[in-house]
Amino acid sequence: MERYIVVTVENASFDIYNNEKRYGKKVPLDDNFSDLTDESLSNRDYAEIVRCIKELSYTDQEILYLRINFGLKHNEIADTLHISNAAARKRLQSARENLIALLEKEEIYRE
Amino acid sequence: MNEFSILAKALGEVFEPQIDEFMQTVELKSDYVFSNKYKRKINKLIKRREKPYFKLICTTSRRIVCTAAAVIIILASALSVEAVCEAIHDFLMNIFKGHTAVFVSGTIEDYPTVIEEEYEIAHLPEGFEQIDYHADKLSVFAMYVNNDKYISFQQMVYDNFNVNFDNSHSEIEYYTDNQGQEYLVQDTGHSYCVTYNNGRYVIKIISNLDKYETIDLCKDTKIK
Repeated sequence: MERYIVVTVENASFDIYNNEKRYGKKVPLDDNFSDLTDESLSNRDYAEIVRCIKELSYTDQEILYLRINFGLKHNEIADTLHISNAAARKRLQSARENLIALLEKEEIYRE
Repeated sequence: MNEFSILAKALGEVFEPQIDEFMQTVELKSDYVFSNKYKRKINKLIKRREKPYFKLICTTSRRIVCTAAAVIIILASALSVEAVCEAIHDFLMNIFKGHTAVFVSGTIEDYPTVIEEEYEIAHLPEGFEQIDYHADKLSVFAMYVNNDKYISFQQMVYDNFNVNFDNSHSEIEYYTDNQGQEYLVQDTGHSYCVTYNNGRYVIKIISNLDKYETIDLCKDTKIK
């Protein structure tokens, strides 16, 4: 069993390593995530961002987490969540829009 | 990921506690037993990975390249072995448990397919007389005797030569004379069978004379 886990982890590590090698250190996000880059969020309070994310639904948080933190592609997200590729793309777009809307709302309140 | 480090950090801070919470609710069964089929497959995969040449064959394309390389090497070595055999011996032997099959090396195009000229022993040892003679398109046979001594002479076309020697009661060896002519000598203990290829036909002489006397008879064969 131990050896099996070792082999599985080794394979997963190779996949991550190969992905990083192929795409460089940045995970390519073909969706429009330009509003959520470090540069765009640098003038915001970190607690404010956390608060906005907390307001998102579990589904939105989950899909953003898989995309941003794990760097999964649409088809990988689809496989992980057992949904279609199109549904994964749609959910991700919706989650991004919801987060941006919440951040904009926070900004208006702040001003 | 550096481009989204703030968002990633915030997402992790919010979402990871939820994952931890979820994981605590999942009951992990440590006594789960994998099926034998699954175990066999996993063991096979693990064993394959442990092989020193795994990196050479880990992908289909690499496997194809390795197979192709192996085939090329085998073909190349087979061809080179054939070349060495031809360079060394006029006769090739396939050794089996009870007998040795002997055939002439070279290609059939190099030899006449019928007897175009007959050969004979030019100088028979003193006292020998011919008691039998037979000739056809494919072979010539002559028998000489002198009391209890005998000499059997055979001339055969290349295509007709396919001999099996009894290797359990005799010894077979190659003998090459000073001129570089090669002879295949079978020693049965009471007689010698000397076979050689004169470049046109296969000559076989069987006699109960001495080994070197029998070989000398071969050297003494000439066109009639």
